[in-house]
Amino acid sequence: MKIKTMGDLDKLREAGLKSLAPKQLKISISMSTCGHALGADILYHELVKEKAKQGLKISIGQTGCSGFCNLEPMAVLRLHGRPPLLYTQVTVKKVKRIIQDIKRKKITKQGLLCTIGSDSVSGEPDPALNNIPDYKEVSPFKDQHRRLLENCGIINPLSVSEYVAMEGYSALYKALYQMDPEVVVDEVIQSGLRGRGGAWFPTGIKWDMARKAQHKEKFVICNADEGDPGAFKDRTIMEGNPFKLFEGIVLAGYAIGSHQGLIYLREEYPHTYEFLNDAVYTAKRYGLLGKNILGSNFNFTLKIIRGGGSYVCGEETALMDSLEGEMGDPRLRPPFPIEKGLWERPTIVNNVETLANIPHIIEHGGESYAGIGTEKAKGTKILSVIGKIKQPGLYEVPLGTNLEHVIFNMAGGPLNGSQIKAVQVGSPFGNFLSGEKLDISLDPETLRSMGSMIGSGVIVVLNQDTCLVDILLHTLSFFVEESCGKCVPCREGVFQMKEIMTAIYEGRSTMEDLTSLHDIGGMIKDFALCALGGGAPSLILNGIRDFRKDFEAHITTGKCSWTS
Amino acid sequence: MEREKIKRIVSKHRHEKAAILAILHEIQEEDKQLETESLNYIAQLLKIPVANVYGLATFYSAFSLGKKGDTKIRVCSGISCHINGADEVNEALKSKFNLEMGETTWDEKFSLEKVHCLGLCSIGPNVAFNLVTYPKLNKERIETIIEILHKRTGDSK
Ligand SMILES: Cc1cc2nc3c(=O)[nH]c(=O)nc-3n(C[C@H](O)[C@H](O)[C@H](O)COP(=O)(O)O)c2cc1C
Ligand code: SF4
Ligand code: FES
Repeated sequence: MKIKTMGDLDKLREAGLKSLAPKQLKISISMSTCGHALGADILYHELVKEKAKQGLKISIGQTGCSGFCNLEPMAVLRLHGRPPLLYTQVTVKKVKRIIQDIKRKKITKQGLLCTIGSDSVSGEPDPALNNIPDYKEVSPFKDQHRRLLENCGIINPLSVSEYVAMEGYSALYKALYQMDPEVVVDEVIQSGLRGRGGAWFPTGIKWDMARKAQHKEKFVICNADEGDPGAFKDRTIMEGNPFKLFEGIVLAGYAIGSHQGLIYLREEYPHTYEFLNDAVYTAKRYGLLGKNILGSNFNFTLKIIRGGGSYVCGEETALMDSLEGEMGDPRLRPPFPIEKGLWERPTIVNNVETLANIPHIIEHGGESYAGIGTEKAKGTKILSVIGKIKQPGLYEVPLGTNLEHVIFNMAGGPLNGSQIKAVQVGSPFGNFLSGEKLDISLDPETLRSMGSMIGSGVIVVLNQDTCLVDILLHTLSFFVEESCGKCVPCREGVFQMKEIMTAIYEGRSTMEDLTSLHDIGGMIKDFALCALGGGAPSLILNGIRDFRKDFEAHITTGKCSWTS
Repeated sequence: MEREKIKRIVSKHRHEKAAILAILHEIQEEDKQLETESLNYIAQLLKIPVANVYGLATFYSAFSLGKKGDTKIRVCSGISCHINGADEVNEALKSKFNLEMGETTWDEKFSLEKVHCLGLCSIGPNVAFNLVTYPKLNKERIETIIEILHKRTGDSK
């Protein structure tokens, strides 16, 4: 069914609400890449079998990744007249128990994390749910501001109606029927949104230039290369709520006057590739992609393109080379993609998270969007908190949230009550901050003043038994393996830094090697062509400055500081 | 791959040079490698220099000139998996298969390679066996998984 009018959209919303508050019991299993890795498909099939065997009057559905993969497989239980219930780490045994209990009109408490939202039917407090917190009150969701991830793990990611029931596609409808492209761009400028892919460029300004560029063919590229190790926010958005991303992409197309979009997806996400193609197929069927979107006269096609497993292809100019069928190597700018991008056409490249912000901005207005965040950094940011941390995962918080609060109060602090030695914000390029310096605001300005950055939001937590020499060497090896080799400072220089670091790690070096690292680092910083080579030195040099004891231990004893 | 088949894949992509990555992906998936013959023929069909095609095949880590195993084992060496003990898993895999990273077993059943992140960072160390990812690995768990795989596919040491 193609959606052509407001009436169609309303009908779909109703269907979505019914599907989210069904008359009969519905169990939805989280089936993204992480769910699969932890047995969600086995669980799903067992459930189907059990239903047939017992002749159960239940329906079985699916949800997507919510950003807390260690709690997978998750299951959302929907019972008429009650708020949905979220279960974590569900097993076949547990789900059978849940079904049995429901037959006896009981609610299983074991494995039940929280309720999701309030009861939409009776409004009366439910004695059966006494002491069961709402998800806004419980770790790991509490204190989050889930604007982008709000539907992830809750709705069926491939259900257009459920997305529409959660306000989906009303922004696009509004834009297509009530807003000129110029006004759409203005709202994005107003919102103060900046690119979430690392470079932090003002999105509205980029769009404005692309809109003004004169050409009948323009492109919207969604950067889904998600190359920073430790990042999985883009995957979660794509697998948890793909239509939100598509809506953002189509809005971008409408705003700049483009009719063709491409999602450049990293090769390491094969499951996501299949999944996105299904989502594109569905969106086309509903008239949300293709000709006459939502019954308007706006046309827009979207294609998913797989990368080849190269980190540097996440850099926008290299990415466009790759889309043109070339080896990806970063070029000097100007010309910028907005003038001469893909096939020399005006092109905008935006990160997945950036684009997922757009529907909210258009629906509620740029000014309202800018209501959260700091003076200069607006909106929320998804943080990928990983490493030696109790509850790793994705935390969406307003920009300007305190780092210590995120690590200790939201993510549960370091593993097994250990001490935090260092935290890297904006991995792989951000500096390691020592464990005593965590009382800071998470926004680009503050981080920059500390020689760090927000990057794509990867926060690596290290405890006292991690060695900075080991971690820095590991990161350098990553840079060396991923260097495209185009410029000498990076190709030769970073390689040499790695050789020296290896010697230090193995105890085959002297203190003078630290000076060599300084000299080589300085040269690379000044002459590397792109941020990959250019970012490596300061990471190492600051590491030497702030964690000198680790270096000295390796140089003098060939071992980590705490083993000597 | 036979020429006919390559031709079909290239035509499916309307002989577009831009689709070369997609073309190489399809051939790699089926052949588990990109043979010189195939590269030459693709270059001819797309009317581009062989050196370019060869360049792509070596630049992108998804492609390989040498044969990959029926089961492609990708060990995550991303920061999160590294911190949580990927080295131990890595060593266990190398010694069980008697392989170095980038190599393939003699019977072409398994190949081993490194990947920089599988996007499942909170449940690592992770290893992907083709499309199936095994999370939360340590030495013992990976050894058990390998034993089961060996039993299923016949010996491969
Ligand atoms: C080496 C390198 C790798 C990059 N990888 C990514 C990536 O994986 N995803 C991404 O969105 N941006 C990446 N970027 C940033 C892009 O060049 C570009 O700034 C971004 O896609 C623009 O989108 P935004 O303004 O929405 O952030 C990378 C940059 C460099 C230098
Ligand atoms: S800095 Fe490194 S990755 Fe960037 S262009 Fe130079 S060689 Fe390539
Ligand atoms: S670091 Fe291993 S999955 Fe991300």
